[in-house]
Order: sequence, then structure tokens, then C-alpha cells
Amino acid sequence: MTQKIWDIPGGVHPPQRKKLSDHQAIRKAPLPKRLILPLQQHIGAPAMPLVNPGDKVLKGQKIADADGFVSLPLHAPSSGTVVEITAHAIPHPSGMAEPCIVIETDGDDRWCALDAVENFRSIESEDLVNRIRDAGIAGLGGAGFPSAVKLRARPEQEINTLIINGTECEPYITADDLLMQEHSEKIITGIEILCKIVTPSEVLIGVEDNKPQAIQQLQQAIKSRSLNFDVVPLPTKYPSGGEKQLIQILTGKEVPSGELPADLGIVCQNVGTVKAIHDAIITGKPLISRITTLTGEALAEPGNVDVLIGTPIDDLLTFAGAEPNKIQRLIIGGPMMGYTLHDIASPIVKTVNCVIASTAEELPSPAPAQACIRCGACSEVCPVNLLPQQLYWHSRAKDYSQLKHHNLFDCIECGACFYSCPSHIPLVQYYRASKADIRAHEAMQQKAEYSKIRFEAREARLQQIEDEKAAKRKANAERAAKLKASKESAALKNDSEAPPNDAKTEIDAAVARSRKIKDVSEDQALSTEEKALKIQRSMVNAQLKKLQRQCANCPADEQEKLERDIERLNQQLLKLSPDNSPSAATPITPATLKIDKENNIKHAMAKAAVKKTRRALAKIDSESNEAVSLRSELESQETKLKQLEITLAVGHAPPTTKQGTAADEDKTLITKLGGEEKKLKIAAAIANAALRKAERAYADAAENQTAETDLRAAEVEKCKQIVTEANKNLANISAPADAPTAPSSNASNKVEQEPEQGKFQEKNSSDELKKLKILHAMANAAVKKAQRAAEPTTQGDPGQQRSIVEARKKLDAATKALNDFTADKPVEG
Amino acid sequence: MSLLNVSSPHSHGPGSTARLMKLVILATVPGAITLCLFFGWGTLINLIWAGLVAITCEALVLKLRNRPVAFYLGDYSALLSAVLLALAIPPLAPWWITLIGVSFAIIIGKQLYGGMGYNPFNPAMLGYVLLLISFPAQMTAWAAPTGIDGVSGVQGFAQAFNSIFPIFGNVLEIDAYTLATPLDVMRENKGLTIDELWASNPIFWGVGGRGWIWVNLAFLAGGLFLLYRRVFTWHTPVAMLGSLTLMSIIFYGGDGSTGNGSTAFHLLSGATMLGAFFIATDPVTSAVSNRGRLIYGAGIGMIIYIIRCWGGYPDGVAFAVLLMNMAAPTIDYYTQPRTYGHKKPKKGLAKQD
Amino acid sequence: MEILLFAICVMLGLSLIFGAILGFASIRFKVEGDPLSDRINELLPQTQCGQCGYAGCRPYSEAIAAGDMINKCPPGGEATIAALADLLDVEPMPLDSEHGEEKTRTLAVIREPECIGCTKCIQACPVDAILGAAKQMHTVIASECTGCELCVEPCPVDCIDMIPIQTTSKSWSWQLPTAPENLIISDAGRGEVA
Repeated sequence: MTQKIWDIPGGVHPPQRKKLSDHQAIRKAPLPKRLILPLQQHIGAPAMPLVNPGDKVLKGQKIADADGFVSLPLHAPSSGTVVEITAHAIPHPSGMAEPCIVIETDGDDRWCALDAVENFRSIESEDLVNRIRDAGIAGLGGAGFPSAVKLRARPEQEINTLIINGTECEPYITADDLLMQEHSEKIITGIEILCKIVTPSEVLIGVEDNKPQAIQQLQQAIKSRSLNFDVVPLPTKYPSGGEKQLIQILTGKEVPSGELPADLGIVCQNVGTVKAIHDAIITGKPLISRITTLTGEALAEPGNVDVLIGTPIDDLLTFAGAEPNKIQRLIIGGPMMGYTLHDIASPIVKTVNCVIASTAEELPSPAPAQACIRCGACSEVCPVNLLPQQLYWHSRAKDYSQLKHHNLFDCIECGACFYSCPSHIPLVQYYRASKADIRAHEAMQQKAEYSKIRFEAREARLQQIEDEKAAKRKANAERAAKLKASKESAALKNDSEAPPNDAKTEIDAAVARSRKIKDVSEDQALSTEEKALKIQRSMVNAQLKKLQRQCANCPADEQEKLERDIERLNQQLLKLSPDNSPSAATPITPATLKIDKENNIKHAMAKAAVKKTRRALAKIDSESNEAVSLRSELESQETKLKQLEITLAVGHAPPTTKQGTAADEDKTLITKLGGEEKKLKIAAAIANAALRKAERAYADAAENQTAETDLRAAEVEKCKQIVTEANKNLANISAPADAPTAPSSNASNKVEQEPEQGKFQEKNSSDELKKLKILHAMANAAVKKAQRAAEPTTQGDPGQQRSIVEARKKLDAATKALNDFTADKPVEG
Repeated sequence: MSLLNVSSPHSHGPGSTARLMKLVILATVPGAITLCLFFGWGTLINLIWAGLVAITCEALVLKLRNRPVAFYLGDYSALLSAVLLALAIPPLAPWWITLIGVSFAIIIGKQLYGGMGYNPFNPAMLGYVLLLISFPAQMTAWAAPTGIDGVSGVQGFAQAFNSIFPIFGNVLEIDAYTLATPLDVMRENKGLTIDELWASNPIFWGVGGRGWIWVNLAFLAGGLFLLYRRVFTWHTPVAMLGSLTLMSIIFYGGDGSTGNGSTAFHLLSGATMLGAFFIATDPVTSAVSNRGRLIYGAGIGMIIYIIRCWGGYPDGVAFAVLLMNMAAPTIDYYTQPRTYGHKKPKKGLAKQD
Repeated sequence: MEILLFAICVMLGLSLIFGAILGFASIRFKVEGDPLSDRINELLPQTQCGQCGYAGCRPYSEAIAAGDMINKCPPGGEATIAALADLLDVEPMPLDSEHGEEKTRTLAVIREPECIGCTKCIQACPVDAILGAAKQMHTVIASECTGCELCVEPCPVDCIDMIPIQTTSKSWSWQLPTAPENLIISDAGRGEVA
């Protein structure tokens, strides 16, 4: 019975070159020492690893599981040990590395327990599909689409044609040819399994007529089982093996653009995939090996090998007797659609059906492209009736709308156009690049659209909140007005001399009340005296802030006057600060600890502020006369800060030791010292980092400006001092800390002995940790900002001036806070 | 080992631009020989002279444009343009006619547009039209074909050479060796029936002009060879000849004095076959899709007939080709083929988004 | 003289008739498009970064519609300027460097261990792409981040990095080949040596 076949438009007849590799039976590739298994060898989501480095695995064991519907699991191709899960070169046109599980084989090749099926006819098709999925079977023809996804019947699609693709239209490749010759029985059984799943009314096996032996073998196998599968010999023409092209040849139907063959009631599977399905169901073996053609004139022994997935390609090349100096390019896949390999350490993956090691004479380097003469040779050979020459022009013009109008996305990238192009224009590359550009462009547009919606939603939300607030305010005002009116009327009635109690004062009073309550709740531990001081301080602060803002906006001559004012206020602030001491005299409570923490934060902020000031100073250095005075001030601040740092570090421990009872005083001390040491270490590290930064900046500056250089040198010097001092402190602290045996910073010890104390300490240490974290982050920030400032700026604008003044203000505040703390200590100690 | 990394495909067919151009040049040989046989050595001298001018001009402009001269000269496109123009120019046209025509074709018609592949108009036809408009006297003076009693024609190589390069002073009197072409005579005919015309003027022979029939048949042979070698598709020449045939049938007008000449006369006169297979098939300036080429060719055939019968010039191939060159981009937009998986072909320009 | 008058009258009449037809057509067949600012907004990259000096893309699009310069959008860069110039039928101009330079697209990434949970970045984010609460760690929803950098400045501990979007093997693609030949004489010197 002869099946009617249709023709496809276009097509080319490149030299077959299949003779190189088709004369030899399939050999088994040797077991490699290492197997490299990319987590993604299929279309869809990468698999999720199930093993860890060091795990022993057996052959066929699942080592990574599917992550989602369109995804596949991965199995160990041989027994051995998982060495690492790391990025490794994979066969991909980009030559990039992707996460792979690396297995060191033990040579035993020991199988795990396999779940074979006695009689597949007795199994539900749903179960069969699940088994196919669990075996990790992807399309072995090259695309790597998970086979189970293709087979999972959707209720609205009735499959009436099953097409088995054995065309192998690409030159060089003979893997499917040999597979059909040697495993025709298995393929036919595999087809029977597929029939059980999709229940088609006809089965067509398309094989190009250049494989007469394969056709004969298949026909024999079918006849021996008296099945009604049709083996359809097709005229040899590239690219008849494309899924859409094969469907057109065998059925005369075209898969509508943007749809799937299943929408036509057709399922198409490669013969290699069918064999893998057979293995998965009948023997229970997952997809861990495949048949790959090793060919090309640079190989002494080209042929087909049965190779484990994950085998490094250089192992295979050695096996096939490659002459490395003859290889000009290594192609994965066929010469028409394959891609070149960057790294020969890349492994064989599920989709690698051929490796071509070609010499320069065999596949010469592409000739320089000439201009397109619109000869139309490309459109003559295009199997999907595109106008490649027009696409080429529009690609060059990046005219996306025209490209889409010319159906660029129906291009199957078969390469027939380039093959026939007399001007040697790399057309396929143009189309690939344009497709990627269009996709990226569309994704960006979509994202922009999405961002717009989010932005507008946010604006609307903020507006709504604002409106609600306004409405509330209005309602309040109205109520107040009403109240006032009623009061007024009452006052009129009573004829009393009650003071006019307008809404504003009422609100003000309420605000003040609430603030008072808040203050009390926040600063429960603070005395009234302190409170007064605090309020005073905040007022001065506010005044200072206001002035500074003014300073930033006013002209230069006025600025000086304002700055004098600021200076005065700063002095005032400083004066105010030591009066705070009474608070420190109180025994340590959580509240004071909180202050302690605050101090630390302030300290860190001060440090950042110093850095910022320095940066700003460097910026305005050349322009401003104020620079000199600012710098001297900065220096004084820095020395102050340094002192604070030291005193803070050294003197932090004693107050806490007081907390402990006599019995565990030592322990607490050790703990505290441990914490101190840690802190100092971090401080030292930060200082070190700062030093390095400064040095780097110094080096940069040295290249650029000599004027700046001196400043930088001074900075570096200062930083060095800081580091040495910090180190000294560290040494001081660590010496006593090391002395007691087994210093334990474990809070749980204390919990056992004195629960309350332990709890407190725990809290304390966690606070400490937090503090350190913040400190660290702050220092980081300061370093970063300083670094950013190190890039020379030309303008000393008002913004910068303001930032200097602000930084100074912050520094002052922090200094004061630290002063407080250090002033307290003698009283306590 | 350093591996080459390029996009697929890695295999390339034997075709190249230079090979295509050489094939086309080769296919003009029968026509050129026939021209020499009937109209003397002038054609050969013109061919060589035009080729020299073309290569010089091309090299000059490439040099000016800082392009690798050898690489671009190696595509033979300049030579092809020169050959086509030389075959279209009257065999005994003076040397400066060829010089002006060829240099205009190469420099302005081709290189100033960006070189091969970027010219919107067929360079050879641009050069031809320039000459036809600027020097009508020289361009319509065709040598008389051999074999007519009483007209000597051009005798030998020396005579032909002398008339093209009048170095030795004794220029031939133009009327002594030229005759109006059959198309010219047909167009100018007012009072004679076709039979009378054929009887009165020895230029007519068989269904067409003396010599012209053979020249056209020779070009047809060359064209068929190119079709066989798949240098171009059949669409353009068949559409062009088809529409010319159709026009000549519709507007035949009988054997009387008002007749426009028979179909065979039009197909085998003037530059019909040269135009159909060598000029209209120039890929750069024609439509790209097969359907587009049908329209493009049909347009050329129609315009040729219109110009021949009702226009101001005896032959209209050059004008027809240039006019359709202008229309080619528009034709392209409306003749996209139906792509696999699409129900209908797309038409027109894409909507701007 | 009579002829002259006649000609003038005819011309006048014709111009009146055609003027009337055109006037009618312009009213009758008027294409109702989006308002100009909407169409401008469509072309802006919607990073909402405010580098143009306006509080987002929409305000800037309104400003452009009102006559502001089209070269103030660094994230959009040359492509956006070209598109705007095309839409507004004005000459494309180089990007105004006062507003920043065209950079590769970046994503904000919070170094989470360093985050102190201040919510300042959340308030700064124009597209609500930062997730978190007070005193809790914050994180950036990568798919929503426009790379506007507005969250970097407010961060008191400077724990937000702008990371350029990396190419992976999934996002990798072939680049357009360099054009085989250059078109015009002004390209002299850039010719390919074959």
C-alpha cells in the first residue's frame, strides 16, 4: 500500500555526507570518569536537584526532579558519587555555563531498582504518560520538548494521526538511521505504547528514501506483527524532517501559525524518542543514554555511539580518534541547523544527536558577505514561503512591524536561504537576532505597560489616602467649628468671660497631650529634669535645622552670618548635653540599654557623617574659601570621634559587669569581653576597609590631581592611625579575654544558673548583635558614599553645602550622645 | 584548539554572485555573435570598449569610497552592465556614446546609490535612456544588416573600428551604412499595408526584420540556457512576453496601413528578447516574489507595446523597464506569498504600532 | 483682459470649492486619536525614575505635550528620543546630559542581612516593587523593578545595589551581523577589507 504524499515548497539538497558514519554498527562509548548533567536539557523549567555533593547515587536513580508542568526529571547515568553541583559549560550556542550535577563514576555501573512493566496494554494511559515523564524523556530529535507534555491528551483535541519522524534530513547525521536498522522491533513496540496512549486512527512513519535499509527493517517488524502502520518513504530533501514540514508532506495539512500539531489532531514523535519510551515502559530504564553520531573528517573513526548522557564531548572525540589540530569547528547537530561548541568539556545532553568535528576544507569558514542582489534564490528554497530577502532588509533596518508583517516568526531557521544565497549573507543570524530583539522589545513594552499601571495605581492610592485625610481634617474642623459655635452660643447665654476656645488651640492641646503621653511612655526611665533638657535640646535642634535650611538657600555673604548662628547653636547643644548626666546615674534598665544602643547608632551615624563631610569637603575644596575652616573643624571632629570610639569600646564592659552577682561575675565579664572583642574586631575590619578605600582613592587622586593628593594622603594617614589604634584596643581587650579558660559567650549557660539574668543577657547580646549589624551597615554606607564622592565633581552647589552642615549637625548630636555616655561611666564605675 | 563559532548553517551551496554574473555574461554570447554577423564588428568593439570603461569607472569609485577594489570588481556586476549596454547601443555608435553611457550607468546609476544591490534602477537601462534622450541621432542610426542589395553595410573590422574611433580621419558618412530599424519603419508607416511595406523595404524579412529575427532568437536561446541553469525564475520573462503577445493580439489592427504589426513581429523585433531575459530579469531592480515578478514582467510587456505603437520612440524596452523598476517596491508590498500556516497572504504595509 | 479676469474667477471658484470640500472632510472624517500626552506616555519607558525632573512618566509626557524638550529621559535613551521625535515630528536631539546618561538596565537588589527595616525605600518606590514592613527585612520584587534608582538614596544604611541585568544562556541571543557593505561615500574609511 502506498501512502499519498505531498510536496513542500522550496528545500535544498546539500551534500549528504552520511557515508562517513553509516557503515559501522552502533558502538558503546566507554564509561567516562566524570558525568556532567545540566539541570536543563529540555525546553521548560530546569530540574530541581534532589542530591547533595557527597551523595552516592546508583545508575538510573533520580537526581533531580521536574519543576513544573513543562519540565523533566534527571537521572544518574551511572553509579558513583555526586561531586558538586556547579556551573559548567553546556552545549549551547552562547557557550555559557549553567548549573550541572557532576558525578564521579565508580566504574561499577550498578543499577537501582527498576520498575519494568510486564504488559503495557494492561496499564492506564495516564499512568503510561506519567512513567514517560518520570523517565525524563524529551524529544531526542533536537528540540528537547518534554514528550509527556505532547502526549498528555487535552480533552478538546482528538488525536487521529500519529506521525513518527525518522526522516533525518540533515546531512551527516545517521543516528536515527542506525537506530531504525538495529532497534526496529523496539521502535515498533514504542509506537504501540504511543498508540495505547493517544489512540490514533492512523500511524505514519516518515523516512527519507536515502535510508532503504531502515525502511526495510521497519516494514519487516511491522509485517511480523501484522500491524497497520505505514512506513512512508519520502523524497530526500532538506528540510523535510521539520515537524511542520513532515506533517505537510504526510498529510497535506499545515499547522496554523501559532498553533500546535495537536490542534490538527496530529502528534509527532522522533524515532529516538519512541525507542526511549519503549525502554522506559518495558524495561523501566529512564533516559540516561542516547545514540549520537560522531562524524566529520577530523575523526579517524567516525560512527554512531550509544553514549551516556553527561559524557564530556572531549572523551568522545578521543574515543573516535579525533585529531585536535585538524578540527576547525565542532558542530552540535547537523551542518544546517546545528550550533558550534565553545568548550569541548561540555557534556552530551539529551538533545545532542550529532557531533561534527569538521576540518577547514570540509566546511570552510563563511565567505565575506556581499550585498543582497535580491535574486530570490532564498525565497525559492524557503520551505515556509517567506520572502527572506525582504526580511533581511527589514532586519537591517530593525523595522519590527514590517518584520512581523512578513511573518518572521514563522521562520523555522532551517538555513536553506543561507545555503542558497549567492552573496553569502548570514540570513539566519539576522532572523535570530531580529526575533530576539522583537521579543525583548515586546517584553520591555509589556513591562513598561505594567509599570505604568502600577505607578498609576500607586498614585491613585496615595491620592485616596490624601483625600481621606483631608476629608477627616475637614470633618474635624467642621465639628470643632460647631462645637465652638455651640460654646459661643453657650457663652453668650451664660454671659460668662470664658476665653475664646477656638478649634486650633483645641487641636494643639490634643497634639501636645498626645505627645506628652508618648514622651512619657517612651522615656519612662528619664527624670523630669532630663525631659526638660531633651525638649530644650530638640528645640535648639529644630532651630538649627531651620537655620541650616536657610543657609542653604541664601546668598554667600549672608551665609556666613547664618553659619555663625549655627555655630552658636551647636555650642549651645554641646553645653546642654553634659547636663544629661543624672540619667546615667540610675542603675541599668532596659531603657538605658536602649540609650546605649541609640548611642551606638549615633556613633555609627556620626562616622558616616564625618565621611560625608569629608567627601563634600573634597568636592568644594577648590572653590570655597570656607574649606580651610571646615577642614580644621572636620579634623577636630574626627579626633573627637576617634576618642569616643576608643572610650566607648574600652569602657563598655564595666557597667554590665555590675549586673552580675558575685558568683558569675567572671563569666559575665568573659561574655562581655568576648562581645567587646568581636565589636572591636569588626571596628578594626571596618577601619581596615576604610584604609584600603582611602588608599585606593589616594592612588586614583594621585593620577588625577596633585592638589587633591595631599588631602588624600592625609586621609590615608589618618585611617592608618585609626587602624593601629583599633588594633591596639583589640589587643588590649583580647589579652584579658584570652586569659580565662574556655571563654563562653553562650547565653544559655547563664539561663541555667540565673534565669532572669540569663534572659536579660540574651536580650542584651541579641541587641548587641543588632547594633553591630547596624554599625557595620552604616560603616559600609559611609565607605560607599565616600567612594562615590571620590569621583571629582566640579560644582559646589548649595545642596552640597547643606549636606556638609547637616553632617556636622549629626556629628555634633552623636558626639554629645557619646559624651553623655562616657561622662556617666565614672559615676557608675 | 581554537574553535570557530558562527551561526548556523555551516554548509553553503556552490552559488555565488560572481558565478551568476558570469553565467549571464556567457549567455549573451550567442546574441552578441549574431549581432556581429548581421551588423558587423561594431558590436564586438563596443563590448570591449564598454567593458574597459565600466571596470575603470567601478574601480575609480570604489577607490573613492575606500572599498576593497578587487573584492567588489570580482562580482562581475559592472562588466555585466557594460555588456548589456553595449549590446543595446547601435553597433557603430561613436566611442564617446559608449563612454558617456557606461560611465553614467556605473557611476551614477549604480555606485552613487551604494553599489551593487542598492540601485533602484537598472544601470544599463539608465545609461541607455540617457543616451537616447541626449543623442537621438546617434542612437537611432543602426547599421544596415548584411544581405540587402544596394546597401553596402559595414564591410570589415577596420571600417567598423574607424567609425567608432575615428582616429584616421575618414569618418564614414552615417547615411551610407545605416538604415531605419524595422520597428522605426513600422511606426512611421502611414499609408502602406503590411504587405506593401514588406515589399517596399528590404529591411523586412520573414515575419520581422532582416537579421533582427536571428538576433532575438539567439538571445532567446541564451535566456533559455539561464532558465535551465536556474539563474532566474521563468516568471518575469514569461509574463513580459505573454503580455506583449496579448497586447499585440488585442491591438493587431489587421494587415492594413493602420495595423501595429503581428505578434511574431513584436516578439522578434528590437530588444524584445534581450529585454525579456537579460534586462527585465535583473534581480536587484525587479520585484522579489514570484507573483510580483509576474506583475512586473507583464507591466514591462505592456509598456513596451504602448511605447512602440503609440509612443515617440521606436523601441520601449528601456523606458518600460525603468518605469516598472519604480513600481517594484509597491508591487513587493502587495504580492507577499502565503506563508505556511497562514490562511491568506499578507498585503500592503505593516501597521505602525 | 477678459481672459485674465475669467481665469482669476475660475481659480477663485475652484479654490473656494476645494477649500469647502477639504474643510468639510477635516471635520467629517476627523480621526479621534488618543490625546497627545497619552501617545507620548506610551513611548516613555515607564521607569518612573523622575530623572527628567517630573514625578514620573505621565507628568513628563504631559510636559512634552505642553512643549517641553524631548531629550530628558535617560532610561529611554536615543531610542525613546527618536520615537518621540517621530511622533511629534521634530528633529531628534541628543540626550540632555543634565538629566543623566543612558546606562544599561539595572535592577535594585537589597543586601538583605544589612537591611534595618526602615521602609524608606518602600515609600520611595514609584511602582510598589519593594516588599517589607517596619523593622522587618525588605526585598525587591525583581520582576516589578524598573531600575529607577529612587530607592538607593533614601536608604540610611546604603544596602541597595543597582545590579546590571545579566545575560544568561536563556536571555542570550545572536547579535545582528555587521552589515556586509556600507552604503554611502561618507562611510569612507569604514569599508570592510575582504
